[in-house]
Amino acid sequence: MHAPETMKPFRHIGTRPVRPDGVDKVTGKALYGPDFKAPGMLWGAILRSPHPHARIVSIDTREAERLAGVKAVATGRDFPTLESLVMHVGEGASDIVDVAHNCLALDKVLYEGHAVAAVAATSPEIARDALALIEVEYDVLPFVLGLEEALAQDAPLLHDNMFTKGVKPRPDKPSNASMRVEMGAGDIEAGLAGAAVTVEGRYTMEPVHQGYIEPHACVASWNGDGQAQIWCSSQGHFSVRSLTASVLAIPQSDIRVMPLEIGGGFGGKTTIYLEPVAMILSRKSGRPVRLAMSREEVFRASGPAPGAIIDVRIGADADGRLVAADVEFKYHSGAYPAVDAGAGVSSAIGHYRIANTRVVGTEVLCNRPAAKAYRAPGAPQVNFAVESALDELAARLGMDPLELRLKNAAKPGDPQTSGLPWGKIGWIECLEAAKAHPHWSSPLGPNQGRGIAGGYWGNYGGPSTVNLSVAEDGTFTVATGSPDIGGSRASMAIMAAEVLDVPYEQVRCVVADTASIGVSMVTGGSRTTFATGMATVEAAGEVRHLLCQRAARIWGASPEQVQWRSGEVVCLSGDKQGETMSVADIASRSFHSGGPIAAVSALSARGWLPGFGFHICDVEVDPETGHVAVVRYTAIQDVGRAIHADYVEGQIQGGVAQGIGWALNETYIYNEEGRLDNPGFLDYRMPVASDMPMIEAVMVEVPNPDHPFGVKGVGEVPIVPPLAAVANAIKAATGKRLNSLPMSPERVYAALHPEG
Amino acid sequence: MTGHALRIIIMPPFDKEFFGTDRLSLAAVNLFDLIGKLDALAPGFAAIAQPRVHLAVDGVLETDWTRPLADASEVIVLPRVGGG
Repeated sequence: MHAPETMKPFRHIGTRPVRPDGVDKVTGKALYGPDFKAPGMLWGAILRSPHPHARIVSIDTREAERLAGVKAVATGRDFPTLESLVMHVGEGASDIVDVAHNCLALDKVLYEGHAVAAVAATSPEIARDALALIEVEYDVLPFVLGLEEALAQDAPLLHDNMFTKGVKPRPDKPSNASMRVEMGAGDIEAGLAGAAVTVEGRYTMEPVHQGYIEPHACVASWNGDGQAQIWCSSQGHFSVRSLTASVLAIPQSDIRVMPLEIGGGFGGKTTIYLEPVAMILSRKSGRPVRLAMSREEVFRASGPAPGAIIDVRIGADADGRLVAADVEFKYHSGAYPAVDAGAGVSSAIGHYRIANTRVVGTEVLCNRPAAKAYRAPGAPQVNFAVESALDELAARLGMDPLELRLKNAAKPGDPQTSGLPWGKIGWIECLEAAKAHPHWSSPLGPNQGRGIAGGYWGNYGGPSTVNLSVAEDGTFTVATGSPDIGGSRASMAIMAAEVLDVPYEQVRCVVADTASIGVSMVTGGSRTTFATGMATVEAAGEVRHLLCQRAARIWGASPEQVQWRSGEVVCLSGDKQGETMSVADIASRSFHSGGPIAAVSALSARGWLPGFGFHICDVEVDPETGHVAVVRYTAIQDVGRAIHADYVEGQIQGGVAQGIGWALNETYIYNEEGRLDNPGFLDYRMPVASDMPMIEAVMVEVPNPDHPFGVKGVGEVPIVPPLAAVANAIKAATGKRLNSLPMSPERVYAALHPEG
Repeated sequence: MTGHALRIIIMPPFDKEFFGTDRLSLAAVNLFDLIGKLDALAPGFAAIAQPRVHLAVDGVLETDWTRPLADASEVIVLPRVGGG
């Protein structure tokens, strides 16, 4: 791949054409997961545990099976017995046994809402009635929800065979700590002891949900010959295929997964919940079966982001140079091991140059739904603590908080937490852009305060497949295996059109099913524009090469005599010198010049670079109610190079909106019985448009030299800084440091009025 | 032919989870070969390597594990970070 700096000015890259899937989506024609229906389809429903922790003594489904209209009933016993196997789940990893047991519990239920049995019937009403006829005898067990409670010696154990990984010697007793990760450098205690100024604090939050609007839903049809089809929306239909096939112990090639439009995922749709269950019901009934979660089921049973307790100590010398940072956090894993501790450790303090560091993360099992990825998984929680503490440190030093960050900012070549050197990052460029932005120096009104925070996310590359074909009329189709969540159809079309130097509208992009394109990793981890884009560029280059070859053959010239120029082939010498041949001319003769013209690129993209963001937030606090209004917000981010500028800005704005919701309102609330008390959007308060100011997205472009157009992932970084940016703004407005999220009106009021 | 010994740095949690050390010296033809040799030292490591491990050769993350290591001096074994 050539460095983008050497390229000519772009024709399409960075423009804002209309997205090709836009009309269908705004007119309601687009088919999302819960919309799909198949002929003869049955309606499924799932019985869920009312207990947060219990042993399943027995399940009696006979009455349900006898109900007229019921065609199948399934329990965890219908899954094959599986051996432990750690598999890719999205960009993370899980044991397939845990994945299966999370779809349908086997011996124990581990959280309220855990699936216990499922029914397929001729109507949704009959399916629901049938659930009431299933008798489950539980041996109710003590449960644990809190992080420190779950780590106590006498805590109820979720898994008898859970021995903490990442510690030596291996523990001789099982516990609820599934993983411990510790990284660092230098001498943390000596570093802190030598600091002129230190701050320390504890920061906490409960789990929050990704809040995608579309619930999980699928239709599965498993034929008698063993072949099956699944229609669902997800962040990765290949992942749906591999996980479902593994849970059911059948060949992946026997399952064809059709990707439907996805109404938001944010990491929460990188796994499976319903698909193997629908498959079992379909096999038993001989008919297609639909399963769809209600909103309540989404909250009770699908993965939230972990809650956290984070302890931070940071020290600086008198000049404001950071000399030591000690961060120790505990994250909720929920019912099964997750993989956010490593991400939290990697994302905690690597954006600063600090000689003495220690970062420790522990994943803690508890009787909550299994935690899942949520946009930069594991990073916002720890960043909230670190960037809040940095503001406290700046205040102690009497130093401008932006200058403190600038003074200590990591630059290319500096070591990350892992010790690897940073590549061509644009962190300092973001800080400089913030300093120069009019927001930073604008005046504030009464009861207003300004906060800042910065953060980063590592991003990823990974496997992607693209098939780029030329139609007989000379138009192009790009088929990818990457679900379009953030406008990737448009971005792929832009990149292909750029390489081919043809109009954007001449290239259309589709998301192909698992039988129609090669394997692609999930759309997640900020990888699609980078990795699938790289495959698109490669395929477009190959098609351009093939078109040149074909034109040369038609002319009777050699390949060296022709050149691609402005979207057509030019003959440079010989009898045809000066003549041109359009793509349509070549394509219309393709059947008689060697056959259809197409190219496949299947690659595992490398050379990804992290993204950095820096946010400025103004809030206005109502001292009488504690209500916090975000009145101005500017998010500055190194995006590498924006392919479709609208969608880059949209990702930034979306991430900020979710971060503001996390900061101010969102939280899981469990009652004393271990049941979720707010499983709906009425009581789980997500921000709506009227809560938001215009979020100004400022794109800093420091191109990635290892991508043909300089792309860096952009989707996850913007949720990292808002938690601390809002907290720091509230501190500036009120003088009160709030260490626990959400910073809801009652908490802000209590801080302002400690007397009550 | 296995070539020269490489400096292998094992990052947490794999140092404690599998090897009991964070430094090894091994010769390997390529990264798949290295994974096999690490698995010989700590059985079970190869089974989790693809979903859980990133490998960096001389400071650069490498997704192609067929990459020859004849010109390399250091491999870092670090946890793979999954995005959302």
